[in-house]
Amino acid sequence: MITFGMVGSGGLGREMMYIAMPSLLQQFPGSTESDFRLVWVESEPQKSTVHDLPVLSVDDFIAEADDNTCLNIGIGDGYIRERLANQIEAEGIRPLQLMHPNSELRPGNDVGPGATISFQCLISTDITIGKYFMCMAYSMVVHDCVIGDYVTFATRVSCNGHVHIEDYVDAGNGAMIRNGSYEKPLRIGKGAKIGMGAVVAKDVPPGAVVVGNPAHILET
Amino acid sequence: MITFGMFGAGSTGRSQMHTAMDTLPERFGGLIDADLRLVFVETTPRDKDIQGLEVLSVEDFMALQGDDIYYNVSLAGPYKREEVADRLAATGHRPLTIFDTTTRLRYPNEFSEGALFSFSTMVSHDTKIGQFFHCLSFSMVPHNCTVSDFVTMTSRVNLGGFTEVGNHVFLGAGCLTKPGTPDRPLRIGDGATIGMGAAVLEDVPAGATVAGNPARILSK
Repeated sequence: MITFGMVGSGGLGREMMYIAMPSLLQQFPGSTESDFRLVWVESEPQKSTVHDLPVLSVDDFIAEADDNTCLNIGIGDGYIRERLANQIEAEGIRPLQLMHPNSELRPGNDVGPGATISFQCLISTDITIGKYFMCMAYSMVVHDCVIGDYVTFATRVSCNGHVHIEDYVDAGNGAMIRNGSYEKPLRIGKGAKIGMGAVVAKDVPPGAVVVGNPAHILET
Repeated sequence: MITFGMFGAGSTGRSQMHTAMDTLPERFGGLIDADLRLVFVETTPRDKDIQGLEVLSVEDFMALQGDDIYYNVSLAGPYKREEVADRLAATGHRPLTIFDTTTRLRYPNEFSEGALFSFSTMVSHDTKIGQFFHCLSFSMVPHNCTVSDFVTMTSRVNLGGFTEVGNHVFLGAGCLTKPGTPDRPLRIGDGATIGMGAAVLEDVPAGATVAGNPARILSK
């Protein structure tokens, strides 16, 4: 029996949970649905079940875990994702990649542990992606991009070719990032936030918040 | 033995070759892999093989003899694509349209050869498409549109219905155009360039570059 824990049963976690079964079936060839047990993991459980699946506390999940326990994290904030990942992985529980069967992953890619690729996404060729990348429905990452750890893409994000995205970057719905070039990749700095529908045509400094078409830095 | 040459081993070429690999055996009536020779064609080949496939110079590809030699041109620049297509056409080799397995076609439509259709693309009914069209991921040609020769639609282009796109038009990622009407289609003139994320509300004159929301002319 393999146990899969989805950390967080909020909106994002519930959306991601339904990709878990097809991903498990694909990553454990020859298995059937009855080989897997799906559970929610919460810091402070409010309910005993969500969508008819049991909710465990983080401590109980860790206490029950064996070699056949894996997890993913359904939380949009990259920094919280990192904290929870470090806490749970320290107990020997490994991350599971979630990949919707309708998405396309082309050759020459290196996708890190714990990545989630939701419905109808495209990960084109020669892309490097770090840990716990979150790529929600209809998003795409095109050739020669480098994506850091704990990066979050909402739905319909377009990341064109030769773009380097550093750790913890958060891109809102429908954000568009122009392509860089082999000599000069377009760079989105660590922890930057890209607003909904923004059209990013040049580098974004670390920690900046950019919005609009063309995207400009939002002063706070 | 069927030979298919993809001119250009850049990002589009590499991605679309993957599609060719997936779809051509069935397209040619259940070929086995051994009967299909896939090659990249480059002006000055730098590598011996790319993704495990051989790379030929243009001269070597043009010198191949036989009836079953097909090609496509992956260069995004409309004028460059025409130049190469014209050169290859002189050989008697035949242009071949590549459809992704996720491409949807509705009828009636009319096609010239040499188009590339990438992941999650669609061609709706009552459409007419010229030679060597590029339709990259998530783009769509809606109903009653006419697309002329050597047009490049990058990813996530949203044309409205009743649009006439001239020759050599380049449509940037995620641009939108307002639908025309049966009596008065929206016209995008020959050689126009539409910027990334532009929202085009009125006709674009030939040769113009437009960008922004609403789209304004940057140069002509």
